[in-house]
Amino acid sequence: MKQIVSLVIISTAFVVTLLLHTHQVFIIRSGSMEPTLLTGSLIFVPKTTPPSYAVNDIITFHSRSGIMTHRIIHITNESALAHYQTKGDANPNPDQTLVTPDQIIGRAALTIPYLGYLALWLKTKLGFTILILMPATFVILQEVQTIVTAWQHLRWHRRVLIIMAACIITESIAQASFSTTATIASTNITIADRATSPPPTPLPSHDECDIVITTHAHNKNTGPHSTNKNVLIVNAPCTTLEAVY
Amino acid sequence: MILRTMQPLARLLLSSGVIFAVLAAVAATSSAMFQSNPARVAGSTFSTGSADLLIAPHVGSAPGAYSSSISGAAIIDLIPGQQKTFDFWLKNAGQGDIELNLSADLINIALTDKNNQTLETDATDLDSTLKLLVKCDVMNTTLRDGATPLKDLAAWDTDTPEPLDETTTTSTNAAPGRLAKNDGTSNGTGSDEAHCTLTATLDTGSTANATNASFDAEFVGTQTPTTL
Repeated sequence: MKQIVSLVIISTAFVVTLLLHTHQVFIIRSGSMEPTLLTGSLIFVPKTTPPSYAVNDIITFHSRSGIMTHRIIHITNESALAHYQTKGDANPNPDQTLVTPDQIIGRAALTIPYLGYLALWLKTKLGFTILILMPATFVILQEVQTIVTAWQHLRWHRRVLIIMAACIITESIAQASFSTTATIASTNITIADRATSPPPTPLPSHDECDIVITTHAHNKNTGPHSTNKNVLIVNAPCTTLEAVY
Repeated sequence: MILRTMQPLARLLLSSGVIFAVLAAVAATSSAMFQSNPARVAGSTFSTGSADLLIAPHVGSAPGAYSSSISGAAIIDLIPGQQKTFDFWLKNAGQGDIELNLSADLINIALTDKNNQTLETDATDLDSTLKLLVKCDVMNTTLRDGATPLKDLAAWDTDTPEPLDETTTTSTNAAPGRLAKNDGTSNGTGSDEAHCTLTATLDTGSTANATNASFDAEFVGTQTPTTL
């Protein structure tokens, strides 16, 4: 029986934690949406915003009087921007001001009647103590008792193993809790491709030499320091190179 | 016989799990209940503060914008016998009187050829001839205030993170590899910031050619009590 109660508590806690992670939760405090949403209902609004809203959607939005949850009854487009006319199901008239997309928190996805009263009470010290702290303490004490009993039935070498495992886990948690990381992501080190790198300047071949000979033409009018140059390039095997003028 | 010996162990593990789950559920519920009341949330903040290590690229002679991760570090066309570096900054951005001991690790190491095809370690000697170290200079005073050992890629791949506690130069700025508590500024001058260098050296005899080594360099700051 005790195990079943524990299992129910854990399952509930898991589902609630999952819902709280993906949804925002609001409490219906007035009867403007009755009978669809009863006063004191808890509504869950997904944190991911849908791309668009349609007529008859029940939306939660910011208004001048606070956060409201009403139904869309009409959509108008002004300056390419959708404006939503909203109305409470129990109200005779629509809301006076139109709702713009940036005011909308989201679309109500899940409703649990009357759970809002419980949630409000949970926010008080008395409610939190009675509904959360006391049951949690009771379950923990029960489990500690089970651990003590089980420990007494364990052989000594299993006790040693458990203590070692507990130390390792505690150390890991402590390490994770009191450390922080910073990363250089995708660091790249490239080794040069020596096959395609520019080859070093080749030495002159033993079989062929290039010789550049510059001759200055002697001009009778300008004298021996003429800037007129004749350039003679000789390509010839080194071995047969001779003075060429 | 096995059942008899396992039962207490199973009960013990199950009960430990239940206690852990209940504590987590209480924490989650109380957080959800009171998250709409900022004053109450602030009131339950632990005064010990929180550790936060940030990293920034080196721009000019000072740190750029700090964040938890930077990318795009590249050392290009390394040839045997050559050494190249990549500069960056680390900062202790923790809240409260917290000092951080630094350690470094290279993770997600991959070797590829010039066509970006994965190389096996026996197809190249890059993992044994490419050696890397990280050194940090607190306050940017050119004194080495902490460094890892120089290790090849294979050693970085298998070893645990290396503390930056090796030093060759006496520094009075901080203990080797330690960042002092956050001074609230990010200008590269405080002892809460360190100008760090990742140095890559390719051995002279390396036969690696047209290959690429990629990895993430992860730096861990572990909280230490502030020296009083």
